[in-house]
Amino acid sequence: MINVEKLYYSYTKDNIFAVKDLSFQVKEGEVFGFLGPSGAGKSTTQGILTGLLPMQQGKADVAGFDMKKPPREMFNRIGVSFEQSNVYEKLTARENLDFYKKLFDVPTLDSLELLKLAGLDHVADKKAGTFSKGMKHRLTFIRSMINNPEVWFLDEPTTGLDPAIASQIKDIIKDRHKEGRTIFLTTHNMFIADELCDRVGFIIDGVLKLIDSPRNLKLQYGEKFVDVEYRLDESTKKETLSIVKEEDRHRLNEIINTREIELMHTKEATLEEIFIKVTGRGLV
Amino acid sequence: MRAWYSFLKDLKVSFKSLYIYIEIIMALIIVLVFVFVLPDDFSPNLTGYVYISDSVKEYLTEDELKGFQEEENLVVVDDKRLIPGLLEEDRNSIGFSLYHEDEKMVYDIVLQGYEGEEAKKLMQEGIMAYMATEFGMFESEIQYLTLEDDNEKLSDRINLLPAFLMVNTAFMGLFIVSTYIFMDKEEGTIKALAVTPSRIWEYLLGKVGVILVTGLVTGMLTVFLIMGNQVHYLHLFVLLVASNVFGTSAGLLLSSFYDNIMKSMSAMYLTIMIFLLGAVPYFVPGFSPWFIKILPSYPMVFSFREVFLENPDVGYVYRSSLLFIILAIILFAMANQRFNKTITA
Ligand SMILES: Nc1ncnc2c1ncn2[C@@H]1O[C@H](COP(=O)(O)OP(=O)(O)OP(=O)(O)O)[C@@H](O)[C@H]1O
Ligand SMILES: [Mg+2]
Repeated sequence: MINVEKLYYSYTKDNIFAVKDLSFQVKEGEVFGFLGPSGAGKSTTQGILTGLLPMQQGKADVAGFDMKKPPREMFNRIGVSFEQSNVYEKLTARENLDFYKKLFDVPTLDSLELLKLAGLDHVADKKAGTFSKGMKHRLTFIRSMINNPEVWFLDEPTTGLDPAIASQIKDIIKDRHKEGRTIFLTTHNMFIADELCDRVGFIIDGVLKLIDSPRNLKLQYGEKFVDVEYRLDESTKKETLSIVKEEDRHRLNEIINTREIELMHTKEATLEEIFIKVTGRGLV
Repeated sequence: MRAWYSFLKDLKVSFKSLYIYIEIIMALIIVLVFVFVLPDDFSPNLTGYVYISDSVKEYLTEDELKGFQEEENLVVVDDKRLIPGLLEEDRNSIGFSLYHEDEKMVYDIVLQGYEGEEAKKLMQEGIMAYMATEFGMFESEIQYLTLEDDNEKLSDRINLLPAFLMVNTAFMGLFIVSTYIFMDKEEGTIKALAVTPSRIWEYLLGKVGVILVTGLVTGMLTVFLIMGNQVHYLHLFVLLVASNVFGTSAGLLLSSFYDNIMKSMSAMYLTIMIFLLGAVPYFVPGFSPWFIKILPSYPMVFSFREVFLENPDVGYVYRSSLLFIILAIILFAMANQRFNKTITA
């Protein structure tokens, strides 16, 4: 659904590139997570793939349309949520959606249903200008799905939302995934990425370092540990052992054979730990 | 269709923002000023004290004499020696007397003394010309020199209306459309529009529509409140539409070069100043060099003048309107071209 080949972009039109030599593919029905620290080039990439930024160098096509000169019809088939919410502050939430609906040539979803989905139905007729940041962000988010997009671009859909609402948004994305939509998800949040994405790409300083599924990455880079808690002379003792290191494996064996085990679970490396390991950089 | 929805939405937004009210209030203030503050004519009304000797009266017919006495600003006195005293009492007056002396017609003009040489000459000539037309017996060398062929004249008060209309429809549109565009850029809503199937020209056309409605409503309202039904409203309507659309398109093109309102200010100011130059010949009839005549504001202000005349030059009004429409289309196309490249960058 998305094919990117040797994509470069410079805001200053010189040798300072915000994205460099970017190549990747997103298959139909896939949730692709675009992960990287601030300023890595995530939004720039989304900008090019949604026609907001001009194609300077390289190739990209989205839903079968060449992004060199995308026809307006393409926008019936994609949806875009922005990292900075951008709604008409002078209009109510409902008016915002009702106006947006009319711009599409394809069937659209009901405004109130969408507002319900994001928990905004109780303020449907309030001016968006009076909304909190998180509310505006949710409005921007649901607006992007009004045309039932085949390819859905989400730039930081959960940033700045409280955990309960973030999890609501996450569920909406999951549902769309089940319906077979292709989703390009940009985020800082590794837990969200881990949970939602079929594959993730790590981008840093405009360069794509690595692409794989979270599971493969963990298998490959994550050292696995086991936490065991066992009885020892009337008290509980806890040890964390690697299941890769020879020495730790013997120790684990010994505990299992000789002690009374109370609790035992494996602990995986988080995506965040892997990111740091691969790129040498944190995610902030 | 999308342009229509865009227009409706923008109209809604504009009614929820300040500008439209500023425009309407401005128009109402203008109406109040026109109706209650401005006099019909700005030059003070002079009273003339006239003495006509019996011998001169013999030359006049009954009707002429009556007309003379009924002239609003003239007071006929019986003795020419009364005139200096009357002038002292009424400083805003002049006096003149007509009588025969040695078989010759003599006319004395009595002035206040504070008038400058130019004014004296002007009054003298004016009175002589007046005499010539009233009495028909003076062989006058004085001729009226008019700058335009038509010598229909608007009152000084109404004379300001064309200039106001030009500023209100063309310049305000130019300025306000750019504030709308920059507001959308600021809010980022332009980006949201850019990822829908709607086209830039549809977006821009919606803006043109909103400015047009505002300009028409305030323009028509102002004229109606001041002039009632003494105006050629159809011509006015066409001209308002044409000049408003022209102004808005110019504003669109201008704002396509900038990404925020502060940066656009100086260019905006300069453009408006240059446009204003086109209206100078309207107020200073002797001054109309070619570089001013080529400004669109030149035919604009004179076209607005026509719609207030009893016998307007309809051809001129519609030719100018057509010109503004053509210019508007060109400017709009250029703005569209530029916005296509820059609106989301
Ligand atoms: N409009 C712009 N003009 C010039 N440079 C820009 C512009 N927008 C972004 N950049 C630069 O391009 C680089 C990539 O920015 P981008 O917004 O794509 O990062 P990001 O990964 O989305 O970051 P974040 O997580 O903070 O949203 C950064 O160095 C940024 O400073
Ligand atoms: Mg970003």
